[in-house]
Amino acid sequence: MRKMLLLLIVLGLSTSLCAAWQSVVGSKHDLSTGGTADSSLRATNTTWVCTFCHTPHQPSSMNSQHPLWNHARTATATFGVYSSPTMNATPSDIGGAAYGAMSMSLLCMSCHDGTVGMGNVLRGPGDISGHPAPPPSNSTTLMPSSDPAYIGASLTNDHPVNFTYDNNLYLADGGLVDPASPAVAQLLFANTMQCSSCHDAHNDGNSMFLVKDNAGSALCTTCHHK
Amino acid sequence: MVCIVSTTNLGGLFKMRKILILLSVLAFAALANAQWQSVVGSPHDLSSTGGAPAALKATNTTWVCDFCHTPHQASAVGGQYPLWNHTPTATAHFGVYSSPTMNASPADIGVSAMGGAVVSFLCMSCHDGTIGMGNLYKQPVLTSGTTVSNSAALMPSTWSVMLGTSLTDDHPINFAYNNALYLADSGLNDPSTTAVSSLLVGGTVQCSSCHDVHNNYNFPFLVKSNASSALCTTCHHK
Repeated sequence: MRKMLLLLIVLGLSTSLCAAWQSVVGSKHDLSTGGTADSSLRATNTTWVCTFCHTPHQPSSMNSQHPLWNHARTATATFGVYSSPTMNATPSDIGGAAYGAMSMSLLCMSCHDGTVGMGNVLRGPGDISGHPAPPPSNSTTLMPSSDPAYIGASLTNDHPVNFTYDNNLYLADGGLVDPASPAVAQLLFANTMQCSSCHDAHNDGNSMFLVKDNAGSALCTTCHHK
Repeated sequence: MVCIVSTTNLGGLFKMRKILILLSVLAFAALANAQWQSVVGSPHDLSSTGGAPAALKATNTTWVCDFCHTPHQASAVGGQYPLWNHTPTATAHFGVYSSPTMNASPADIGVSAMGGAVVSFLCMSCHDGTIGMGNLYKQPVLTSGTTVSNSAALMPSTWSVMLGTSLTDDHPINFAYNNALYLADSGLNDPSTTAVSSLLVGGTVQCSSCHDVHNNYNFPFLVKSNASSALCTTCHHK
């Protein structure tokens, strides 16, 4: 009986871990006909999902960016950075850098700054007939400023991104958690904070594409010692 | 379908059930067949009657398989199965894709001798754009002429299927997709599952993991339907 209980507990835990995962297919980041992005933003002529951000072949001859990036980039050169008299971090502007060398957060702005069409891709998906395949039907559809996910071309009013979160910052700012701890370290990218520190674009299991459950503000307090 | 069967004719009833079972088996077989579309007439058919663009097709042969295979003496010249008949590319280094978030370790496909080369190297006989579509070892039996007319026709660089001599801007291939990779990369599915393992070639990802050059039912020669990106999510846990 105890073995069965243990088994059930193990199963329960693994189920709860699984429950935190929800595929990008069918999510709000799914801009295909089968997605749950707002219908005004979705394409009407492709069921391919990954194609809106990735292509298996030749993305970089046009924009030289991993991860096999397929979306037209924003032309916004300067987003600005958040500033505050109580902040010790020194964020850098994500705009303007050469493709391939830039902050990964700039990729998110391909859609979220509202200046580039949702389906404005370099390589059209294979299920739209034509040679080469034309872009999806939503290639000129912009994210409206009324959309809750709209960030716009200014990052001066958003949580800072693209700054180094290292031991110096930790020591300077009494309100942060040690970045050497695994809980913090796994959210950083080459020791920097980016959009993807809080958001997992491929997994909507925690809603808002959060990387972890924010009940009790657990995501915020992973870094903020508050 | 409405069937009226006499209650006294039990033999007829059983016969009818057998026929129905046979019909449903045939229906399934037909469905399975519907997933297949021959290379003959497809864009990989470079013969005069093929589905390849006119600029790349031969005008003087209707033989299809010859553009890649020959039944005799292939390996004496090219040293490569599967009875390979196309002149290999001279490209020695294609490079490999790299990314700070990738755990796989792809190897260059261009450094192997034919025969020891990875299967993906064969695709580059046409798709790197350096070798004529009809540049063959053994010529097909022709109705006119001695060589196929497209022996010097190169795939145009403007085409998305022309990968060129660099694989640094393509999905990585020629890497082991094993349990160690699966454990290192939380975004991948378990390679021991049949869905994944059936796509691997000797435990590695190759061009043929995603593409079946002989079957264009799922354009562009995909091994399975990519509706809802089902091909991508076979391996990618996204």
